Amino acid sequence: MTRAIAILVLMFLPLPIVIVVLSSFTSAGYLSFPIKGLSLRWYAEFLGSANWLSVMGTSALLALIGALVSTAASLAAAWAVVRHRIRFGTAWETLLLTPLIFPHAAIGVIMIVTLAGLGWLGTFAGLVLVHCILTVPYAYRPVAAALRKADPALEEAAASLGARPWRTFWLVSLPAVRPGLVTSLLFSFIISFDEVTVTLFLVGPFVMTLPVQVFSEVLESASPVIAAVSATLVLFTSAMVFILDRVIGIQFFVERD
Amino acid sequence: MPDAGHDQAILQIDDVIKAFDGTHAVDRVNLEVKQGEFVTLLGPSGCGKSTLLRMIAGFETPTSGRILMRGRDMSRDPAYAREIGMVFQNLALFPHMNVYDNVAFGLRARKRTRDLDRRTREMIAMVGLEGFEDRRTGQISGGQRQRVALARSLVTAPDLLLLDEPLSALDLKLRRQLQGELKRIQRETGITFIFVTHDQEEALSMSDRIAVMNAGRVEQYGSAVEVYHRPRTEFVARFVGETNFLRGSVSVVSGDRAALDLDGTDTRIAIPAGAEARHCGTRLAVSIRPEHVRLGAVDELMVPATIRSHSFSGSTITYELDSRAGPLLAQVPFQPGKGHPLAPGMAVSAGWQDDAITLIPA
Repeated sequence: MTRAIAILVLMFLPLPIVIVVLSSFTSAGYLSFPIKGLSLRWYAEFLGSANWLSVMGTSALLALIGALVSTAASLAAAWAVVRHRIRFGTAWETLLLTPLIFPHAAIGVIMIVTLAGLGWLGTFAGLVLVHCILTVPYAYRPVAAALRKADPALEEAAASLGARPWRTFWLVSLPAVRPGLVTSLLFSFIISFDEVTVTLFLVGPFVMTLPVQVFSEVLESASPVIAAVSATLVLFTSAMVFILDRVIGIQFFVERD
Repeated sequence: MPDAGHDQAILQIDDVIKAFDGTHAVDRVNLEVKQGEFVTLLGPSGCGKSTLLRMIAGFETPTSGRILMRGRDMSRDPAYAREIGMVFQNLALFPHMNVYDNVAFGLRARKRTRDLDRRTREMIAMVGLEGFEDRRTGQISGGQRQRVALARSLVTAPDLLLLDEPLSALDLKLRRQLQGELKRIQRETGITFIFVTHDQEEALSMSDRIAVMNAGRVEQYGSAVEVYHRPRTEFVARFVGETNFLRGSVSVVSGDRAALDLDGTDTRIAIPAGAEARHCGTRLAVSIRPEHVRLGAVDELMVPATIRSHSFSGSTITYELDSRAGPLLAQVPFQPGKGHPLAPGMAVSAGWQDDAITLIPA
């Protein structure tokens, strides 16, 4: 019985994705399932639209910069907490994770006020800042776990062999935490690339992200181009995870020591 | 290398203290190590030997005191600026590099690239790992990993090599073999070694000098023979080898002889009246190694005793005795053809020669 339930749940999890992907191949002029006839016209419309492509470019760039910045910041924070054992280390760690706890709607409102104060509302830089804050909780844990697992004696060995701190960092510390770094980059990229709720408060006429664009399209029309966009995103993220796992290896379920 | 300056101290440790949270992990240590010496820091875990080693390496800074290399104070120099190699307890080989790159690391870090390849291969050959250059450190055996660590730390020809219990994870046979190799490499390179261990046999067999440490202090610093045969404190006598340790008060002094009344017994033993036993009433202890205790027939020797048990170890038999002086250990050579060991319960007598006795102020 429980087994049957488990199987049903497991089948249900990817079901919406399957439906979206299938309905993107419809030949009808509206979103429907099951589909009427097979066609690639909605992919043609998506990839032929300057607007969709530019929005996708913005999202990719935003996610890339956000992932790099929040992973670098997470590494620095984890270094201070794990290696230098700064005072109140666990309190700082908890603080970094707070974006997970606060409701995104509340964060959105706070960020409108903050970015308006900075004069960054509706700008790309403003989105980068907010996406960094939102992705840090996902970036911090893998990199901190990798650093906890890395042997500090490796760094001492490098120093005793005459390597200055930067050289030790590049040649010894960084390779030791590489799987954690890749996981951090990947998760923060995906979180940022997918983010709707908070971003919705902050986009404007000059900057728009792909998931927010999809959301507003859904409100306005039920064009199957949305399904084509979504299917492309599914393919894109899966491919990224698969390739990174093959090439570098991802620590999916990172344990703390 | 010419002999000039052979007796010069390469390393001098001056009144060094290291305090962690108010307790002294290293407590006023003074040591000097000569060029080319093999010095061992010996002591139980927590005695401060590893902390002392880490201060010499530059991973910890002394709370007070100085560490001098060739007369220059380097207590506050960063580790990378010291010409000191180190072999770590867990070896700390770089897991993402192969054997060759591990060994070459020090030359690259110090930008000595001119003869990098020749020097690296020379070191790999010295530790007998030719043909393993391209192996990852996870693909070689424990003994081979040990050799990589050694070659890596020696490639830059440091003034001093520190070894932090590098053999403790190996089985006995491999350990013996690597001990011999360490000695050979030390002789061939002429590099000064400071070796940390808690294994007194290892210390005795390898070292030119041993610093026996306890509770952050050096209890005795001397040759293996001195530390074993002339322990200066009870701790040294008990930690280095097994011993019979008897306490008492000097009761008679006459010329160069004296007598010691042993505590808790009515037994009086004869001792040489040295500087330690000049006055009656002085509290003293004697340490007598089990292999210096002789056994004889009843009344033949000084102390009446009965055999309690024996254990056989190939070349020797060790007897536990109940004697008038208290429990004693006697280790005698096993002589084939001379029958069985003495049976438990048998009455014998035990004795020793004057030069087997070490007097320790108690």
